[in-house]
Amino acid sequence: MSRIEIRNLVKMYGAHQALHGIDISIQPGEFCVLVGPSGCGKSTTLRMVAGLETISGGEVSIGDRVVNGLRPKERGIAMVFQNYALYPSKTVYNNMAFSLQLSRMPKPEIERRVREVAEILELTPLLDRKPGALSGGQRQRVAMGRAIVRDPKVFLFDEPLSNLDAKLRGQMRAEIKRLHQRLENTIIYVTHDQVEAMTLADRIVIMRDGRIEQQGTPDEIFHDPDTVFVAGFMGSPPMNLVDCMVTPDGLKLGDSEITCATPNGLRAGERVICGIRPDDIRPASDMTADMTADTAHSAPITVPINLIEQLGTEKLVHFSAGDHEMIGKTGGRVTMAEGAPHPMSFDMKHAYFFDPKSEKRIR
Amino acid sequence: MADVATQGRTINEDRQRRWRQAGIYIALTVVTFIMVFPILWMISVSLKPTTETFSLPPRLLPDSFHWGGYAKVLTDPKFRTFLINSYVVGLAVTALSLVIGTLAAFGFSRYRFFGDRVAKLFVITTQMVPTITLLIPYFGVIVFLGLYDTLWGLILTYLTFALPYSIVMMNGYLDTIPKDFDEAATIDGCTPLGVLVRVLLPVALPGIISTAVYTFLLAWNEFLFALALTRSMDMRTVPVGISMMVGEFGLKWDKMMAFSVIGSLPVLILFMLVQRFVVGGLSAGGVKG
Amino acid sequence: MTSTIRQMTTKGTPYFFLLPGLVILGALLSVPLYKVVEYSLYDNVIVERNPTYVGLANYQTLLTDPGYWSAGLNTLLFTVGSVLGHMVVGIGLALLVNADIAPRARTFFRSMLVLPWIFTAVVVALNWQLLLNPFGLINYILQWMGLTTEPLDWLGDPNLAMWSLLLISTWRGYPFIMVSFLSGLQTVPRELYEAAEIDGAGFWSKFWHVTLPQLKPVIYGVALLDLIWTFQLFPLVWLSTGGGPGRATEVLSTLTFRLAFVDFQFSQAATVAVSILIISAAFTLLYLRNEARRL
Repeated sequence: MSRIEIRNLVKMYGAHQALHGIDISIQPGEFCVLVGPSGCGKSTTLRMVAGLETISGGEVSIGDRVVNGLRPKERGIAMVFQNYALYPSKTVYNNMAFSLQLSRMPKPEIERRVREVAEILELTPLLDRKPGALSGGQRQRVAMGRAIVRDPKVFLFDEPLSNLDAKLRGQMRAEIKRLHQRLENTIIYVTHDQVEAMTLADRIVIMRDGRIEQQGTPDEIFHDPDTVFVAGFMGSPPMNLVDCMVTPDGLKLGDSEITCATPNGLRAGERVICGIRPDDIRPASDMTADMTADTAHSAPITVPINLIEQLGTEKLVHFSAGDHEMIGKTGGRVTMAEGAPHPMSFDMKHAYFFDPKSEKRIR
Repeated sequence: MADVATQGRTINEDRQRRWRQAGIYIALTVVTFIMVFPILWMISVSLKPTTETFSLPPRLLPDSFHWGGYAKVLTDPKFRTFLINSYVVGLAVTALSLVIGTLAAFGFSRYRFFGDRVAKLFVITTQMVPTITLLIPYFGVIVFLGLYDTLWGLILTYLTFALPYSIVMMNGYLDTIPKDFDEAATIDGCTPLGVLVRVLLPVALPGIISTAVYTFLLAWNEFLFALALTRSMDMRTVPVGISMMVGEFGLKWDKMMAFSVIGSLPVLILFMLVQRFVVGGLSAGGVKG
Repeated sequence: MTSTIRQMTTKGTPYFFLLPGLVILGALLSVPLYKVVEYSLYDNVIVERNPTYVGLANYQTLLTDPGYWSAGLNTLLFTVGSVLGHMVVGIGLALLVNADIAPRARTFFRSMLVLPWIFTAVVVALNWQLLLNPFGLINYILQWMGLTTEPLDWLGDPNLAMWSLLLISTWRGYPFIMVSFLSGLQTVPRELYEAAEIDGAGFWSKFWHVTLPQLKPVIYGVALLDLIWTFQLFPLVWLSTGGGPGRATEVLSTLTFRLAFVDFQFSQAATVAVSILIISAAFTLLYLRNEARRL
């Protein structure tokens, strides 16, 4: 357990600046997930913490020690790679024992540690196999075992689940979570998958173009996004983000108008980006009496329904409002006709408003 | 009805495919026999007494095997010297160029640095320099270094020719190994050299073997420099040894062909062994998840 | 402080790995290349202790020597003929081996067909001298088939020697093309053939419209390499015909060797050697342009 401080971290590739001063402070035992689209600098940040990339500017400290310029093995870290990077010529046992052998640990101690970790990860029967003879999930577990045996202060995960199929990914996600509860190490975990980020993290750091867009708990990130980007990035299907004009009676979207109380802090005539999650747009027919009474809900507006996607427990309702394609939700058993107009109700209590220029939240 | 029709067609197509395959097999067998024939004929002549070398009609399989040529070659200490020299030169060149070449290939494969493209192009260019152009200055340099008529002179010369191939081939193999291995090993505590020796080389073993065999083949078969840079019988290698027999023994075809067979055997065997590695290559599981 | 030192050492790491190789290659190539050019500017090098500087006189002698020009012409014939032979036979056999047959059979035929490539030139030359002998097998077969009445002296007749040499060179050199083309074939996506088949393409249209365009860069690179290597080839020619009969198959490389180690005219030999270097440098530049694109 160590705290990690990343201060004003900068990475230059020649003249190209890949990271523009990243600040992250991770508490001991915290599970921190870096998430963002590809090329946002999340992997670069992780690799600079690992010591695989040189630091162009700023500081990384692990525990109380600044680790800039230290070799990876001196940093007290262990890492799990996207492609596992298991040494194909070594057995599972030797893959896990390799780092201990390099640090000249006595053999009996290595044996004890490897066996103990293998037991935790249910790898004991596989210890004599080569990686080529293992399934994807087993390889993944060996890769984690290799990191755990070293008893590092910090675990680094670089998209560890992206090579697994959907079902296994779910299982391994839970396994990593359990492992973290048990070992209580500090973890930095890089992924592009927002579900992984939401389910695993104590703290999510959303990155974009080498900058931090927002950081906070999963709840804060999901329910209180700072920017248009964060609002659109987290959640599936994504939040509806539409340009609109504030009117005295509500909002104007192209030629249709949502009637509702004027949102706080907005004046009529202002252009804003309104964000509202599909969960908060429902057919008026779904509304219960007290929901209709709630002033935050808009008066239903009738819109053409373009497409219904059946997901099982719920249905996605694609409709047009003004020039915008929007998505709402309804129950899986509700029957709605495609192509026909239908009244939809917007829960404006959960709408977010952003400045169209700065793309920052208007609070 | 429709089913019967489709079935009829598949049977027909199956039959067509089988006929085509049979045609390909026949063509391949005939062509391969023609291409391999000179080699078979060499073996055949080595097993016939000289009087039968040109006897008509020619026969691939002699009535009785005549081992005289082989006996004469194997009991002659001169030929043993040729073979030993070729082995010494071949093994030394292979070992040296493999070590030096692998180090350089690792540098090329794993690092971007100032001048890397130029350096790589330089290595490729060295493969193109005409050996005949180098012959005269090498003669001068080797004489100057006091290495004329020594195996060291040959080893040094062949190293120049073999090294670019070792570098290019090993670079190719190392490039197929994901860099994740290097990073995992670095985090496990390896130095760069440790990454190469402890992690990459075991994975690149098939590549090392084929590079080694190719280098050995190059050194074993080299003729021009072996001819020009040595003089005494004690320093001659197999190819030069064979070529000298032509003058020395006139037309003792059984003996010449016997020595040709014996002299080709090491590369032939090595080559047959390495085929497996080239085919198996790196596609075996484990390298890529 | 420590961090800057460490950064410097990490920056130095690749040079540490490359140094031995590049130093050896650099030293063992640059010094001789410099020397050979120097030799060509002096008279009586190596045999005399103090050779005289003659400037470009050696080149002048060379360019007015009909022997040089005929060797040059022979080199052109030999190189172009060999490369064509290698390409046609190599690509043809690659296609045949790559046809729809059992993988084990494919491996077997490929191993067998590569064999000509692994023998030393001396053995190749001896084999063919045996086969092309007036009393040899090839003459026997030709007579038996009624194609000739008299046995032909394939390597001894000035009109036939170059053709025989091309036959030998083709046999010896096609495996390199075959192997390169075969491994190139593996990189052509299977879907392209399937798409072509659905579009109704037969064997030849698939070859013309899918295989060749896909492998054009491979073919170009390999042909250039073959050209560069064949152009300077010495042992096979020297051992098969010795440049003879007369000078009928004398190429630039055998001329260099003869001038140096038979006539001991090292300066003249160096001059021919430099001319070989210049011509192959031109082809090498073409090849490097092709390679540099891939780096």
